[in-house]
Amino acid sequence: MNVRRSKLEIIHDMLQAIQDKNGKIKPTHLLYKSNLSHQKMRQSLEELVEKQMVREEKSKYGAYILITEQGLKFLQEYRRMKEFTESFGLT
Amino acid sequence: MATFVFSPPWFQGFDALFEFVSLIIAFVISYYSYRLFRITEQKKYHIMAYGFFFLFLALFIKITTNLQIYFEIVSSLTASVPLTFFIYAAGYFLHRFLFLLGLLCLFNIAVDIPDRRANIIIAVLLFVATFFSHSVFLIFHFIAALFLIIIFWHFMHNYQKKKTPASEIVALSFFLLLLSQFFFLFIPVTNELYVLGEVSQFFGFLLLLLNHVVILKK
Repeated sequence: MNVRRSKLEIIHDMLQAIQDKNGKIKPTHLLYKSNLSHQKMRQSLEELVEKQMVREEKSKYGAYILITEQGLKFLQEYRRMKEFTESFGLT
Repeated sequence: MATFVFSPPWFQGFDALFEFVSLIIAFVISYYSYRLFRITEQKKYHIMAYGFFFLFLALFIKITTNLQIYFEIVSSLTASVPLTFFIYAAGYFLHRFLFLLGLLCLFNIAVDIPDRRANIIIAVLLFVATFFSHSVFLIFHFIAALFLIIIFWHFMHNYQKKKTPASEIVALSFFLLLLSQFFFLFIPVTNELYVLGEVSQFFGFLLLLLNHVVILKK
């Protein structure tokens, strides 16, 4: 059964995908890992850049997306929120 | 003649201290739930925030009313016995009504009541039960125990599903809160049960704090 992810879950999944790749990922890998359409991923990425949770970097090896300190804080806060939610059965 | 104070003389003041700590914990959980509501805009966090906020208010009013009686603040300021009686009665009524409102909110988490009108009817019935009953004391603790049975069942079921230490702590904390209501119900047998009820309630809230601290440390 397909369960639609909330916006927060999408942001978390994207940031987690970047962190799983040691904080640096190629856009195509992020598209694959985040399980989103190209357009949706681009929109979400723009939002993440705007919120300073990620930054884009171009090198001779190609473009990369890096997670920032803000992004790492979000992941930590999300983990706490998930634990709180599960402990009170709010899922 | 109405009985306002059930605490044995040696315990008076200690109950206020226990409840002061409990109300701080209730406020902390309410605040964190509200923060999550602001981030996620999901109703369940808002309900949770309200629930614990009502409990916070209820405990605050009970502490101030109890301390007024223990230290005879109101009766020393006013020569009017009816006024003194009214202030104490109003304090305890507010405590009971707000406590039950808080439990109603947590009950909504356990049993999703989608229609707001149902909640309004229940709140009105709670008001009537706590205001008009002859045995206000027993009715209050009986209703609180009923709510807490369902709430505890929800958290127990949640623990059986999730099997995490956090969900176990929450289930245990609400078991202690439920237990406290049973102790309070039998206060007419002996006032010492008030002590057991207060201690059980206090440890229930302490476990909620423990859960919160463990979560924040992650």
